[in-house]
Parts: sequence; structure tokens; C-alpha cells
Amino acid sequence: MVEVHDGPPMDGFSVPLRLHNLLLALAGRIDDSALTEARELIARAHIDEAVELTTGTLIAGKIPVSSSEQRELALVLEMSRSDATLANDLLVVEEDEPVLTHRFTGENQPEFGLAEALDRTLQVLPDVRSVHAVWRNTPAGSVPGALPQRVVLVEIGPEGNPPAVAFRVDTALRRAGIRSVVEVAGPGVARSAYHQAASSAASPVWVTGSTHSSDFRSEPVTPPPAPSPAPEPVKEQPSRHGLRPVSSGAHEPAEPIAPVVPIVQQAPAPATSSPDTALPRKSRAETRAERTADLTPAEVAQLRQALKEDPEKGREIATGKPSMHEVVELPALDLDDPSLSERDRALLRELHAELAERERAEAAKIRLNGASRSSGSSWS
Amino acid sequence: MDPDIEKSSHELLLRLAGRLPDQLLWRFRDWLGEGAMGTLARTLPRSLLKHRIDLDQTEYRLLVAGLIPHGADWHQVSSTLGVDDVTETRYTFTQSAPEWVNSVDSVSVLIHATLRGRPDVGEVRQSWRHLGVVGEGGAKRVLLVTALNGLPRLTGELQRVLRVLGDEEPGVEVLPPSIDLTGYHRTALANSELVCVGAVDTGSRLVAA
Repeated sequence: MVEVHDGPPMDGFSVPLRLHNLLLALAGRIDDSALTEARELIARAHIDEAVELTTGTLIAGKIPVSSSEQRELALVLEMSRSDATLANDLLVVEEDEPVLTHRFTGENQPEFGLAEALDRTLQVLPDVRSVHAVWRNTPAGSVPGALPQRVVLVEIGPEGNPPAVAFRVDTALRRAGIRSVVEVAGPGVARSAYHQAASSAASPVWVTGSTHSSDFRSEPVTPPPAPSPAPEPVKEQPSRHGLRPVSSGAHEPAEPIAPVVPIVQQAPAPATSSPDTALPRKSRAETRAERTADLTPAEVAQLRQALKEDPEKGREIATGKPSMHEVVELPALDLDDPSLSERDRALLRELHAELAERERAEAAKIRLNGASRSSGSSWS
Repeated sequence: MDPDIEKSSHELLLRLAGRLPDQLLWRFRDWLGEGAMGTLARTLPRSLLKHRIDLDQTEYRLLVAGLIPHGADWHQVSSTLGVDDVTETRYTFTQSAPEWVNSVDSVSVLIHATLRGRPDVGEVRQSWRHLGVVGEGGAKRVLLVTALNGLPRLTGELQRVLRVLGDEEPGVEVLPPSIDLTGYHRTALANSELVCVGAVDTGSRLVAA
């Protein structure tokens, strides 16, 4: 059972985001049509209909929820001026009910055709960090659809709006005749076991470019995004975000989104000068590290620094190995680096303060729970 | 569940075919089949109002009979009663399958395998629904089944089968033997083909085979 109150508390989220996060927790437990329709309703500002559809689907399907999920649904029902007593009809079970497991596979090209279908969408929507795809071979909910089901995992940064992205990506895929269910994760939201299992088998569709990347392959990449020891050298590819109109004149014009970007990109040779660091911050190309949901532009600046100092470590951070994600030791704060602007230095200081705070919080959580949660981990 | 309440709700949802959007209609029918009356009572009246679907007096009585006992909001229910005539459906129906259904129609085959000779089931027919001009835009399969008992549950079951076979918003019309058919169902039946017959000899078949 997914605990929706895992990770950051939901209190700080707006009502649409709270419902979106609930839907993330319910993915794999209710049918994909309900998920997709509810997300469209959220995006269209019909929160009441979205939460009624969600709650009704759970009730009619006798799908168990935890008491915290029930409370959250009741709250969203109330906040959207629906009948909160509807939540009383939910089937509530103990928290330690066995979790429904799903089977995912990255074989048979789940990413096929997606990059083309999403080309325009990914150019327009802000702060989309990555898109992955995977087949789910098991039915979801009490009224499941056809199998296998393509699950599209989208990761966005703080500037993106999860329900809006889910809706727009789904619309674009539908228009292209691609049936799928789209899961969009914003920063600071717990990833359920469902999403972790999906992402572990997922194939990349589109990933933001790298500082030192990237060699777009014309053919889809089928292997899951496990870091490979010796990736091919890649040429530079400016990211979409790097092309925003902030002193980016020195950069190449935007290239169309390629079908697939290699997940693992070669770190620069230590001796190679790193011109990117001298570029204005906004015009930098992004690294794959931005795919981790929590990385801010400041963290990326720090990561770039890390890459410069220790390519191997930087690459490990960038590839976001789940095992390393919880405690990442970034290089020491070097504010004397002449290649850093004043703004970069300020951001670095903030980053280090934030990392120290996170470490304290993580340590406290471990002390409380006896084990660290993976709530902050990336989908891939 | 009170059989009269169940019957009223089922008949109401039948009469909403072609008027309420498919994605809502199949879902409400699923909820009815699962006996989630409280959920239906709290959501259906509001959906009708939001989609500006007015009910005629017969339909209004069915809504009152089916959902007021389960806690439907009286003010919402009252607002659904329309004064003008119900507008006719925008759809046309054809008997023959569209070209994209390949020579082996596995859905028909599966429905045949499931319902042939089945107790309480009469005729099983199917028609293809088109929006606007036939041939332009998609065609949707509409299953027309006559049954004596357990109509909401049979609807839910067939919907689940069709969904697994790829129809996300299945059109399943399970009709009681004596019902005042809507224009939607009359047109669909007039342009339908027989899939199979259950164990019930309906005697007076809906459409001459």
C-alpha cells in the first residue's frame, strides 16, 4: 500500500496537486482510464469531477486504500466542494496489506514512435526533464483495459505543472494513435513501488541534453537506462531549457528533439577545458542530473563543478544511481573558482546549505524509521 | 439492493445512451453493476447538470426512484427535469463492420463463446455507430443484448470483457424484454446483425433475424 503522506507532507500542495499526487499513489491500483480521465479533469479545472471519479472507481471496484489515503480523498472532496461523505464508503485496510505487484518490461520497444509524437509537446511544455516508456504486462484496477499497457514516465522540474503535463502528453500520444497511461512526477513527491518498478525497466524516449553531450541515436535504445561503463563519446546538444532567451546568443540554434538521447553521457576528460562553466548560467546545457526531480539550477551548477573536479564522481551523480541517490557527497565548496560568477557562488552557498539540511533531515528520518525511505529517488 | 431501485437506475442509464458522453456512461453503468448506489447517487445528478442533459418526465421519475433513496441531492435531482423535448441522437448506425475490423472479429467470437446458450440471455446483436456521415470518422461497436435478470451485472461483465479487448469506452446495451425503446436503440437494432442467442427464447424478437 502506498502511503501518500510519505515524503514531504501534502499540506503545502494546492488542491489539484494533492489530487495529482494521490493519483500517482493509486497508479496500478485503479484502471488506467480513470487515471487518465481524472488527470484531464484536473488539468481542465474540474477538480470535483476528478476526485469523484477517483473515489467512485475505488468504491465500486472495492479497491483497498489506507486510512491516510481515505483522509486525503475526503479532504480533496471537501476542498473541491464535493460530498466528502463519499469517502466513508471506501474500503480501508491496514497499512501493511500486501502490495499489488506489477510486471514491467522494456522489451519490444515501448518507446517506439513516442519521440516523434511528442516532438511539439516537449518543445512547448516548460521544464520537462525526461520521458521514459515501459510496457506493463499486468492488469490494473477492477475494470482493466487491454494489455500490454504502455506506461509513459515523465519527469518535470519545478516550473512544470504535473497535471497539465500529464494531460498534454496524453493528448499528443492519443492524437498519434499511441495508447498509453502517462505518469508525471514533479519534484518533492514520493515515488511509489509501482513507479520504481516501472522505471527500472523503462527505456528512454527523451532526456534533457547534457553539458558534455550528446550523440542522439536515430534508432530507439532498448536497454534500460543502466549506466554503462564505456559510453560512446557524444557531441554537445543544447537543452531546450538552455535555449530560453537569456544571453544565449553564443549557443547553437535549437535542434529538433531527437528520438532518443543516450542516458549515460561521457564525462569530459579531466584535462579538457570546460567552456560551459564560463557561460551564463541560463544558457548552459543541462546534464542528466537534472532528471532527478529535486535538482535545482543551483544544484546543476554545483554538479557542473563536480564534473570538472572529478569526472567519475560527477558522472555517477549525473546518472543518479538509486543506490547513491540518498546521500551524494558533492565536492567541497570552492567559491574561489574564477570561472564562477557571483550568482553562481551565491547559488552554490545555497545549495550546500540545502544539502546539509537534507542530510540532517535524512538522518533524522533514519533514526525515526529505522530505515531510509526512497521518497526522493528518481524514477530512473 | 432493492430490485426496483436497481431496475430504475438501469433503465435510466439505458435511456442516456448517446446523450451522456460514453466515458461517463460506461463508468456509471459499471458502478451500478457493482452495486455502488451511494456513489451513483452522489455523482450522476451533478454530471447530468454539468453536461446540460435534461431529463424528460419518465427519466426524471427513474432518477428519483433510483437515487433519492441512496442520498442523491434533492436540489440537484430537481434541476435535471427539463421542459423541452429531448433532442434526438446525432448518431447513425450500420450493420456491417468497418474496414478496420479484420476478417476475424475476435470480439464477436468471444461474445458468442460467452453468451451463446447462457441462462437469462436472449438475443445478442451488434451494430456499428457513426458520428455524422458514415465512413468519416470512427465507428463504434454497440452491443445489444436482451436479458431477463441481472441486467446491470451482465452489463458490467460485458463492459469488462470489451475493455480488455481494447474498447476503452464500451457500448453495451442490455435491454429488458419489455421496454419503451429510445430512438437510439431502435435505430441501432434496425441496423444490427445477430451475434448469438442465449438460453431464453424471447419469442418476440427485437428484430426479425
